Amino acid sequence: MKIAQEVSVGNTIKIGNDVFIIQKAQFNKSGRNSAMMKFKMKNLISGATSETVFKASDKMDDVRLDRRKMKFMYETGGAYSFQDQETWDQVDLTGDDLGDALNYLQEEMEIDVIFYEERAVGVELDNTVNREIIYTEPGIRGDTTGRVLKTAKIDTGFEVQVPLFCEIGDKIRIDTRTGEYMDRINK
Amino acid sequence: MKVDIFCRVIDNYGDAGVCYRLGKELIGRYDDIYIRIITDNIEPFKLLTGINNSPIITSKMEISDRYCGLGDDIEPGDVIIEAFGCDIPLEYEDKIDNVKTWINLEYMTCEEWGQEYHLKKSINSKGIEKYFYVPGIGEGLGGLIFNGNEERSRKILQKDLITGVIFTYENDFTEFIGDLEKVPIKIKLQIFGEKSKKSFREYFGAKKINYDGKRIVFGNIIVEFIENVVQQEFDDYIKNADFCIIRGEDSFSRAVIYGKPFIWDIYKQEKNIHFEKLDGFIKKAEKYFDNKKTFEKYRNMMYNYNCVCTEKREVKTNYSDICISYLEYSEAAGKMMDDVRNNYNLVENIYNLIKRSE
Repeated sequence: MKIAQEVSVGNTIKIGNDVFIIQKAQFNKSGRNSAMMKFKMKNLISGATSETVFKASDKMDDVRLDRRKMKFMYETGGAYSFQDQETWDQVDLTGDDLGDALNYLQEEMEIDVIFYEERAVGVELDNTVNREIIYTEPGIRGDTTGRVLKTAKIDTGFEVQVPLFCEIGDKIRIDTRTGEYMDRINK
Repeated sequence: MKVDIFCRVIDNYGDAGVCYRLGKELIGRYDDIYIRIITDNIEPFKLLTGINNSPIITSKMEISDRYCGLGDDIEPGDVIIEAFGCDIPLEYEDKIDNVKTWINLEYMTCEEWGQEYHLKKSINSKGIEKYFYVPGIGEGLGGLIFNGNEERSRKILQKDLITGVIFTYENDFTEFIGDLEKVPIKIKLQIFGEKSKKSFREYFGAKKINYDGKRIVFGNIIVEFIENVVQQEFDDYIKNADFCIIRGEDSFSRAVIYGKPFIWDIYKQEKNIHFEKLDGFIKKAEKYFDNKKTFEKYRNMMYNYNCVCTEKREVKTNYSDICISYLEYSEAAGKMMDDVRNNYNLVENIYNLIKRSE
């Protein structure tokens, strides 16, 4: 059992008799240190997708499906191809299947591909990823507090709010569950 | 129609204040509603209502502390409102089969993301849908709690006296009072709540000012400590004030509804998340100011009071500006009041949501 806040892209949950895979997860802090989650999820039985909201503390019945470590090879015509490095099997997923994972996907990246009844249905990211900043405005000299933020872009085009001292070329760690900057790893 | 409002009192009076006000305004406006507030702490409700009983029962409202022990006899209402995301007791949830409307009444926000949650549905293992309701000011948000029949005319500023209501968390008021002492007019500060009073006592102690605990005059400043009053009386104090420094959501809504210039002492959260919430409101407030410089001074006061670290904040703030440029702040507050009263009535919205689900 998890709480909604612990559920992330690629996780699968059961509500009633339906099994859903999480394609997008949005986390927003509301009042008094509590939070809300908005999930885009796909019903693995009916195939329907929906957007649903939860309190971050809502209990979720998480379901563990089969997963295989595969490498992301390339994208063509909206199909994202992943290859099992042991069996050389290849599967394709759509952008919708990948959801927020698209924000962090890089060629040659190893990732868990989730299977339901032997069909690839999504991917599960690690909780954090390390990425390089490819564009950001120069920050104000001397600001090391980290409390004022600016926008930075990583190679997928995804934008992260980072402290002013971060610069182009910096490697940063990002929490994939919230899309938030965690720290600068090295320059 | 029986409306059950679940309320867990975490701290201060905000949880109880909002729930009581919502219940009171629903029954005040609509004849077909009976309110049951089910709480884990009835004491704040006694203060708010002035009724020292448990349970508190009036003709159309019942407030009990059955949250931690509902008993077998309770039957779920037609409408369920979970206030501030509080969980419903399991023994109540097990009995829910045929609820008309289930609402999670969230914390107020003026941030843009709030509209992505407002009126969105949630589901649970019973397959019962629940609406998320996000109060706030701005397009796509749920509004504020008010009756709609409150008097619209506002108090005219007296030439020789400005009155401010202070109901805050603990703070250092040295800078604030220091700035007000330079204003060439009498200023009466009416202090509510133990945290505000404690902060003023500390100020008096530091300045070695003798006070009798009720009223004190020094220079042009008059400070009055007001004893606990019921919710309606507190509303009247805000209505009759010229400006406020207020905390939480319920007092915030009063200051807005009565068109009072105010500084918001926002609830402090981990990792300074409250800075974003404060900014969410300030961004919404900007459109009500005709004079950009006055808005920037207002923003500065808000940042300074709440110790917000941002490149937009100037180092120097002068709280006396709330008196010196009073007419401009009052005009902006009046525009906000009109906008909210015309477009953001939470009570009406919730009632319409309930009726839609029938």
